[in-house]
Amino acid sequence: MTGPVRITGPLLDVLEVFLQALTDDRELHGWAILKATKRAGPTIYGVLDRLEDAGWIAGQWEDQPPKANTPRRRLYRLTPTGAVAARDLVAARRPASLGRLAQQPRPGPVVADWLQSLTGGAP
Amino acid sequence: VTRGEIALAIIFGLLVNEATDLCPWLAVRLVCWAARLRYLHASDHAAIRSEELAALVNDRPGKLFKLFTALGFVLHALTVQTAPRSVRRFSAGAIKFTTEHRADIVRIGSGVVAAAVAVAMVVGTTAQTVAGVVVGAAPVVVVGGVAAGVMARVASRRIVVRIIVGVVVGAVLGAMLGVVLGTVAGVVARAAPGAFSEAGSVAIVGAFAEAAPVALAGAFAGTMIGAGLAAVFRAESKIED
Repeated sequence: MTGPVRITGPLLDVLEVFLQALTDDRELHGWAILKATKRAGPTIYGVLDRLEDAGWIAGQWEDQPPKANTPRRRLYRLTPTGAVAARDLVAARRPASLGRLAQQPRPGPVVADWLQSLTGGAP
Repeated sequence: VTRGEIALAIIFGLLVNEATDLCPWLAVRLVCWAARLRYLHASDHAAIRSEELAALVNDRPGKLFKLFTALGFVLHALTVQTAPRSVRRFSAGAIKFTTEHRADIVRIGSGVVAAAVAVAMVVGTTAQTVAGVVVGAAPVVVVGGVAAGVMARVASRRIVVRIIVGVVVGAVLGAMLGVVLGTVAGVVARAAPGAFSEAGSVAIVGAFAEAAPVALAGAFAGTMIGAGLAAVFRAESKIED
């Protein structure tokens, strides 16, 4: 499976981090992704560009910066479509890491549809 | 310690302190510029990334690290906007190959280092060999990379492959010859000190001690460049700009 995005090592690293964040019900900002993947900034933002263009992740500005007069972080989360595609891709390409993620409940069609209806995202 | 030296130390300390305090400010300016440069034809996207990268730099601990992070984004944006397509393809192919064959590269690299150390023990000093590898390998890699990028741009695939095969075979033969001659020269110089004059002995041993590892490093670099180009050709249809 190749999907709409070019599959690379950094892409898989980022998807693993996003899947973990999804199970923890967290949103991720750029620095958190950099720290988790231990990849260079330009590499990570290239991946984020591709995932955002493909509709696998969605970004939104944080409500309030942690301190006054500081720039806002942009928080990313997997879309319902992206969550399913990312889980399938990681399962196919990194079966070893699947063990960790497999312990988390997989969003089935009902959950995915429900999430989709909440977010109003395209299938 | 004179008064002038004390004053100089205080002034220098203040200057360093001010300079490091300027780093976060400069880093934010640099990432904003890098975002505008990177997304040159998408001003909305550039605006989003500017603020986002400013927040990223803000999150990054350490004043100097903030600056280094920003410089990384600037370098990337400059590369994306200015490097020729062929060079970017070559870089992407080389990175892909390196990622996929990391274990093999470590193995080959260890072999090259082990061979260089062995040659150093027989022929010359370790310092000579290390210097030879570093001084010799870096230009070989840089020149080879640029040459490969240019070749990929102007020549057909068949010609490029022939040239690479020629270079790699030549480098490997050169390395083998260097190792053999260096070993022989070292053994002769040690076993029969009178065989060469003192200056001649030093010159010969030194020359081969440097030549052999450099030739080995050249063979290694040539192989990597060839493999990188092969990866480019294989992945050409898959690699995005």
